[in-house]
Amino acid sequence: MNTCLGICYRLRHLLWRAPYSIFDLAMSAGFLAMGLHLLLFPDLFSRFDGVYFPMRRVMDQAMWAWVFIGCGGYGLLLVLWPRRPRFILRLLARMAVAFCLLSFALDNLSSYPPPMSGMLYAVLAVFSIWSIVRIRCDG
Amino acid sequence: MARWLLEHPEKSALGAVIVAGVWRILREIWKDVRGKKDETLIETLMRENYELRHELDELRRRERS
Repeated sequence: MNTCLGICYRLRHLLWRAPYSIFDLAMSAGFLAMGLHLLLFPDLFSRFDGVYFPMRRVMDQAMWAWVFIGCGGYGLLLVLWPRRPRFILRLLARMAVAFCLLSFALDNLSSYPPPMSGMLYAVLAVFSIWSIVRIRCDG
Repeated sequence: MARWLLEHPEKSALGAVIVAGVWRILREIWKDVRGKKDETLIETLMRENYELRHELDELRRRERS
């Protein structure tokens, strides 16, 4: 019960005060939603084969969905956790989200012509890598 | 090189993320070894501000309960 209240308090803090962690919150929630979206529409990769071909070559759609849900869910849990988690756990969460973003961005950019969303993913991926490089032990 | 990176998005992504993570960990270890805190005045003020705000929030919460 206390943990639940703590998570609600943390969410309110993130939304109202919008500190830097809002980026972590948005990206983690986004990938969790994307994972669920991939599960909801299981033929997405085959329909848009031109865009998702490099990803489909590595794993099937359901596996990617679970990877996104795992990484996004872990990131979301960490960013909403009422107390500051250990440095290594925070670093791993950012690494997981950055991995998803970067693989998505490179996948988008590898198709010709790259879809417009590719640019957005590329910028977000660069920022997520930057957020790994600049994460603070006491931050 | 760029072509290989684009053809294997998952390997490139994993590589980049691991390099960035290892770099960060090494930086933290290096900082610990030197025993020096690279904190600027602004960072000190921000940290203190954050701590005080947190303390104030705690006090308010305790008052409410």
